Amino acid sequence: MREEAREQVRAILSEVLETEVPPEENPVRNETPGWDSLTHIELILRLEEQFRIRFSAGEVSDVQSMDDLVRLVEVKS
Amino acid sequence: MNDVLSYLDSADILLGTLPSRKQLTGIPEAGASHTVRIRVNRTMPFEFVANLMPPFSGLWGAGVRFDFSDYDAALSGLGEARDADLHIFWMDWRIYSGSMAASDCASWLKERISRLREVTDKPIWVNNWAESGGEGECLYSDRASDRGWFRSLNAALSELAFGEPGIELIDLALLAQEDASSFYDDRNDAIAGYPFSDRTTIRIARHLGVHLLPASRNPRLKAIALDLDDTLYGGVLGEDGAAGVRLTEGHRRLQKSLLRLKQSGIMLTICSRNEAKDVEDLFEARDDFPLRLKDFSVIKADWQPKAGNLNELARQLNIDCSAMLFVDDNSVELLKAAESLPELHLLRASRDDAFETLRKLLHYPGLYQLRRDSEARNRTADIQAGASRERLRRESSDFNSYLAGLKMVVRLHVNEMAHADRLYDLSRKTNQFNLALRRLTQEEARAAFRREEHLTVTVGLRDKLADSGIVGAFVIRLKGEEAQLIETLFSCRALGRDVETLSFAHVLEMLANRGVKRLRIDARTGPRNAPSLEWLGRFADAPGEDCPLPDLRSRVAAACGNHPAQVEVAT
Repeated sequence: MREEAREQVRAILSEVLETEVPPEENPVRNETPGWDSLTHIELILRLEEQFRIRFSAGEVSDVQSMDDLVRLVEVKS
Repeated sequence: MNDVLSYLDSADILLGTLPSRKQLTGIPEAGASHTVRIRVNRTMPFEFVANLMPPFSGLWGAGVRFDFSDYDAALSGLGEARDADLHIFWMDWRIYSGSMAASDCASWLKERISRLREVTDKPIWVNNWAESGGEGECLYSDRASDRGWFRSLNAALSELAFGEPGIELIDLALLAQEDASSFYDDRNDAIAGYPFSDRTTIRIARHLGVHLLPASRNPRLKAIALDLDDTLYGGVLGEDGAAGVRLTEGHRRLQKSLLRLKQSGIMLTICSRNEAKDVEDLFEARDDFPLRLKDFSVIKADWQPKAGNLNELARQLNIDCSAMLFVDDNSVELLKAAESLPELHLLRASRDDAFETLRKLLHYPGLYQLRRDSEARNRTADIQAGASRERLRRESSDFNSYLAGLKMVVRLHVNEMAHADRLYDLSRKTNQFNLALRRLTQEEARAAFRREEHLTVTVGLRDKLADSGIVGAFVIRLKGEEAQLIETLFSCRALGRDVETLSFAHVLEMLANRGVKRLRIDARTGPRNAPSLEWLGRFADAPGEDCPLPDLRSRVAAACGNHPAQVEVAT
């Protein structure tokens, strides 16, 4: 499950950032060009729709990296 | 054919039940025939909306390109992007609610719009605000909550849009009524200062892409051709009989919406594979149908191919097929129609869900109306009178006897500012008799009535069968002994009676009385305005060149012959 979720999150993150995220990387929000507040919301909305889940306001702001997102998706799915 | 099927599939997704973000990303990219440049002056992010607009605007062939201002609560950078086709004020009105009275806020915006107007005459859109407030709103009166402020602001913005030409509201208050419970999303607000939910964002993008944008850019559609069986009602008339076909709640609401479209100026017609007598009996028998037989301008119910019948409907309405929407539940009929009439607009009715058909109809690009149509009431009666006129023409011994039999009265109105909106409508809607194809903006239409610079004559027409209303206009720019006819417009309903020539003769007389010696006539060749160019060719050899007024007057007077219509001049 974890690998499958990770792959889907990576694919959506790549689409939203409009750049391919390499499979072995764990992009960090504050260090990744283009991952600003606008793309962060876009990313959250896409993930919510894809996995039919909903993040709380705290979770949305606490997310700092792709791995954080994968963990949240796993817990909520 | 695959293109048409792909279009129908896309339209099903985009126009029906609100699509999801995933569905939107799956819509194949449509080739845009043109791009609309949009400048967004903003105090909150617009990117979420902008990113979702292309599939909606692509449905009618438009691409969109955005240019964003910085976030600026003072709206100080308004002189930029002067070449934009459209300007949006995208305002987070909450910023101002604590520090300004709502009326002061609207006045300030009006001043900002005036500043922008100094550099552009293009449409300007402004968003209002949803009135619903935070949790527990029901405990607070509108004076005790921000709701009252937003309500006052919205009223002031409506007044502003109503009074100023070229300004339209992005009516968030109305959109909020469609889905109040999930309109806002606190998380988006906390992170990006963008208060709206995902569903609201899609709703706004759709409203802009299929309602406001096509309405600002293109003439409104003129007619809808409706299939009957499994479209206007459930079942098959030929098999179930008039008493057996079903009017579900969805069909009832669909018919009521069609009736409202008719009242707003869209002509309704029937294009059905049924016996004509059965159709008449159906509407006679079913008094529960909101639509009555008299609501349809023309009815084609027979077993001929629908493509031919649609062409005939357009001919009888005297409109181009590109101004007509064909609604049918049968994809094959839609494909065949598209093959013969590629310009025709198509909408696939949902056979088992009339509510879905209704949703698609309510979002079809080209049906949104920006202003009330003052001629709407005249139109269906005038079109229905057209059949009687045709009969009279056939029975008359010659053209002049036919004209005499109509007992026409042509009324010329000189610089009548009250007709500014009608001039704007004529300029945007007429295709066949639109000589210069200027497509005037509302601002330009108003300017055309300023007495010192223009002679603008609007033409009213009535005959013994119907009052056609204001059917034409001549817009002339005056400059001493020279004048320039910058636009000549006539509704297709008025054509075929030489009213345009008779009116023109009187307009030339008015110019002569004002001391004008030479007239330049603007004309431009477009895809469908051949009738107006041919008309002009009867009097002027080379459009765009100065023509001595006496020569022109004598040629036009000769062309009028002894036209029997009575002419009145209202000053």
